[in-house]
Amino acid sequence: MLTSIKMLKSIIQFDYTPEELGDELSMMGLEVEGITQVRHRFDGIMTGKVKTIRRIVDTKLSKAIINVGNENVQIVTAASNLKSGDIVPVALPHSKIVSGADVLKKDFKGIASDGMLCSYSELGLDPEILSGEEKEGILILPTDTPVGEKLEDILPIDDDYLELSLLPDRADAFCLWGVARWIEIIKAREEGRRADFSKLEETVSLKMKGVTNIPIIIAEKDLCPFYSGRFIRNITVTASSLSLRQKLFMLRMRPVNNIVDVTNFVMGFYGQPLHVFDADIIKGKIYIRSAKKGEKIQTLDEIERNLSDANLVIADESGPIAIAGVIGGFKTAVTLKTKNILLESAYFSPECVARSARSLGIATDASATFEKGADPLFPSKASSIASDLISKETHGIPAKENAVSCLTPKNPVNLRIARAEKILGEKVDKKSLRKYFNFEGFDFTEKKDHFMVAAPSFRTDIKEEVDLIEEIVRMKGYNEFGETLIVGELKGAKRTGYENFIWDLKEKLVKLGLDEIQTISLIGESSFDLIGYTDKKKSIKLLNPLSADMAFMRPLLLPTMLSVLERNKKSENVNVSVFEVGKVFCKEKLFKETDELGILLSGARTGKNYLGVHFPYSLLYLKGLFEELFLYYDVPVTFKTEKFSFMYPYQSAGIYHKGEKIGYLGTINAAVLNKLGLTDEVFYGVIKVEKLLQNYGGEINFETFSLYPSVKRDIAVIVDEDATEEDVRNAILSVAPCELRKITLFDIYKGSPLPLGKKNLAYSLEFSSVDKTLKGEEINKFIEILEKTLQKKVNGKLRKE
Amino acid sequence: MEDRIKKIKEEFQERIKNKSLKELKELEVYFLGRKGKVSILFQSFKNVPKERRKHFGAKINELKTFIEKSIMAEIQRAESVEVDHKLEEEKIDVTLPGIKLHTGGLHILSQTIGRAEDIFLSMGFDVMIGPEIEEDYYNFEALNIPEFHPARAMQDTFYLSKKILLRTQTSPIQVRTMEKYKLPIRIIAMGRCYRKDAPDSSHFPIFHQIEGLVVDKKVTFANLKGTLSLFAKRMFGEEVNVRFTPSYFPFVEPGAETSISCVICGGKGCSVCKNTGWLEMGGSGMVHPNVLENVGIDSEIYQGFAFGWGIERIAMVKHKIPDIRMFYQNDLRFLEQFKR
Repeated sequence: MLTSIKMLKSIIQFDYTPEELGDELSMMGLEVEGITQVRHRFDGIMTGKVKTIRRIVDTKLSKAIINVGNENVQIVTAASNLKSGDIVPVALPHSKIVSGADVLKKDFKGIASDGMLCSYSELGLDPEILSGEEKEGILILPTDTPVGEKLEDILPIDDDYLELSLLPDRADAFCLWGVARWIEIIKAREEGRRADFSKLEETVSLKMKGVTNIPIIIAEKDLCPFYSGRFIRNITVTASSLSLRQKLFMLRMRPVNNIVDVTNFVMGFYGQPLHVFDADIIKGKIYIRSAKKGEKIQTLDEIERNLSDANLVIADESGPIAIAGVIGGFKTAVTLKTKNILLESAYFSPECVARSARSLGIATDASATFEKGADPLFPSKASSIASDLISKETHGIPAKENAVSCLTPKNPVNLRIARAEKILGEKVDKKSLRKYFNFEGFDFTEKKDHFMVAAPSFRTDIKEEVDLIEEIVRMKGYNEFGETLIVGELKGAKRTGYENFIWDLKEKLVKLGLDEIQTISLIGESSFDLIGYTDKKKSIKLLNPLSADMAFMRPLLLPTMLSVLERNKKSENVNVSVFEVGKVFCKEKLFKETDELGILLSGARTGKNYLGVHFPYSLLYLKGLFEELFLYYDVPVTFKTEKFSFMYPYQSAGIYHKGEKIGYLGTINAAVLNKLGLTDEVFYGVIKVEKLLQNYGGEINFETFSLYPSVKRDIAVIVDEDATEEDVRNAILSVAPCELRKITLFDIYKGSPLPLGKKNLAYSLEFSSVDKTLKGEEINKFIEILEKTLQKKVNGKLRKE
Repeated sequence: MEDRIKKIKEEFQERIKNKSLKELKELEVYFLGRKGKVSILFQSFKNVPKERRKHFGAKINELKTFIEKSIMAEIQRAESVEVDHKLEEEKIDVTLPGIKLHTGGLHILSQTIGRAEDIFLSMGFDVMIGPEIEEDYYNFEALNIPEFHPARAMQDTFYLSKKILLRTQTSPIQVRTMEKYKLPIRIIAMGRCYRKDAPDSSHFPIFHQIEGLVVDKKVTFANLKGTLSLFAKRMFGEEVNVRFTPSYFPFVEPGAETSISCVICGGKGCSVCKNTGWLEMGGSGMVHPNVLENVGIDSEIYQGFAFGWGIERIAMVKHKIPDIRMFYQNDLRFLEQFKR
């Protein structure tokens, strides 16, 4: 919200600089984000009246004769929004417009032009509230604008605006008057006196004739506790006067016509939303009631809307004519032909307007104001102020208002002094409380150990005791409290077991040489296509995504991890070894989130170097990392070849624990990599984190180890080429004595002198016993049995030298 | 005889100079070998008169010992020269760069979370976590933000269904903790949150929050400030101060925005703090009685404070990171900078 300092000063006197005022207001809870300085950047622009305007034949230009006070000038213009009698800004020769250009006499095909007429844009004025057409068209000033005056004396251009960023509890400050009231509080606090808001109020002596003889029936008294209707008869709808236009200019509102301008002004200045009906179109009585299912209304924006019981409406005998506190109806809207109006000034409950606006998906200035909480006691006064202005602007005659009130008086709020002290942790004395409540203009009665406080009706934020405790903090000063530390039981704080485990897991992965990444958990449909993901039905789509590429909750880590890889390869970071521990989401019966660990490798652990030792990542390196984790967390697993849409068929495997699939790994296939412009091999594996957790946290118990020398024996096994290593190993282990401590595969060989279709697996076996030195015979006996077992189980032979 | 001994000694002293290991061995044979000069001397011993034998015997033995010791010493010297030669051939240019083995590291967000958790653990706060997909009740209603409360507009929320959403704050964890655990409560709630903010240098639809909640019989506004001040000093440095400005969050009253004195300029005013000397870190306040009553805690007996800071914001201020999007881009050139 932009608030004009000039306009504030028109109702309250203060000496603060805009910056000082900004700081003071911020410390009161009206956050000022900045200050916009507007200074006129033009010179020598005069007001002039169009005497005649004629199209120049065969051109888009017109020739206008303009009176600029003492003389008439001839100006050629391309503008199309002018007629004679209009008052416009005229830049005479040698004046400066906002672009900095000097205006010169010009000649258009023999027709002389003594300057130019200016648009909003050319004057550098208030561009954001106007449409493009309005910005570029010549600025037409009110008809009562004096001619031959400097423009900066006519429009309040030079000004400073506070950029207020107000929170919902400051409903009372969403209008200029509300900000002025807070300045009064700041001054009262500074001067040590009671705030006096009455001097900020305008006194209106409204000349009235007749009555508003239309019955008003409120059916929903909780939703609309106050409704005032007032006829204003014999109005003329035209453009507003200069003085109203000046006010709108400072409120940064766009002028429309005198009726709309008055209601906008009262809204922006006093914070009271108003509505105006064409009284001659209203049929019969006015009802304030809930809409019936199936009812419709065409609103001011000419959209037909279906109503429901969520909407409170203003209705006449023919049906709804406005959605209460949200938007008016098109049928009863004021037009240039309107003669008699009904002015509505009401209080609608915040929840009623919020529900209604939300159900229709509309948000207007009026609905925003009511939602936050308007002043329930102000509508009557607002009606007088608006009627007075309307009668001045339109020459209409206001009638006496017809006000229906079901308002119940607000109970004072009880503040217990002891309670305040307990919450704040500091002594609160009665003298200070008196002072604070006076600063804010609160009424109060003082009792032995408590205060009964009645805040002004616009202070909708004061509802209960804690709200008054906050006012103590506000008036004393947020930084006038000490800093003390909590006193309490010593419990031995801890992380949850699960979180400890996650930290442990991450640290383990870092020790394994991996970098942690954190990627976004929202992905787009294209990510599914990239990896050929087909389980879309189970994936969760946001109802209101920010963009198409962040429309789904990720069901797997791969897509965002791949885009990290893509980004890094583009940045020439060729060696990537990363992990992410993050949530993946799916929809089964309920929405489900589980933690997964993904590891992605590409490039080498040790890059090319002068020793020629290069250590590229590979699928088996990745498997080694996972095996390390399974060993560390004591989770026995098996790997089974499986197929995945995004990995090579013979280079991928599912990871199983007790028959349950808990993860997978493999080499990403070229189809995926090509789409990402990646050329290097990429290895990816994933595991459900909770499956690693099950044995985490157990005590570690010492196990004794052998003090006797171990015996080493190398064996070579010749098997069929397609025999798996796991089978061979298992065959060895099936007959190995308990003294076999370590089995290491150290060579795989195919080719001559082995027969075709055979391979040789060489193992180093290490035996040791905790209670004796092993003898050769014992090992030899095992080798004998092994020979038979290998033959039987894997069609293998022990190779003999 | 005397002369011969003297001559042999002189000859030996002449020949032993600057000899290689091989030459020394030859020299040893030449003098001490079976047919060596000293042996011959012993053989000619029989020609010496009996009474002089003892005298010469001692002289020859003296010569022998002298030669033996000298050769031994020379051999040792030559050997060490030879070893040194060999070692020199195996010389390594110690100025060559070492072979780099890649080591891993935690993401800077994890590091920041860990640091923050450790500080609060040291102050006796338990660390709690909770689901990212939340019920509207826990994210809003239980926190004194009913359906049509204007504060809902402060946080643009992602919805999965009418009543299920992505949490916009970690406050739901606070509610869940109050429901489940015995009083007193002293926790921080940590985790990933979502808001429908278009990405720019200071906004991202995904971010992490650390929230604190203390509920006990005598927890005060002054305690809130003391706690945040201590946290700020531990996180950013002892010279950092905390400031409160009025703010509004429906679940706290009084509510405050918390700022720390600018860590870049020390509070003098710079471009980072927009010349204010202060950096806004997050909201805080005294828990609203409605929030306590919603979970069945008697707000007349118990009271508390709560606060919520952004992890990204903390990391950006602490490490002078200019753009929040960098956390989620995971460029290794970014991540590597924070490896310790």
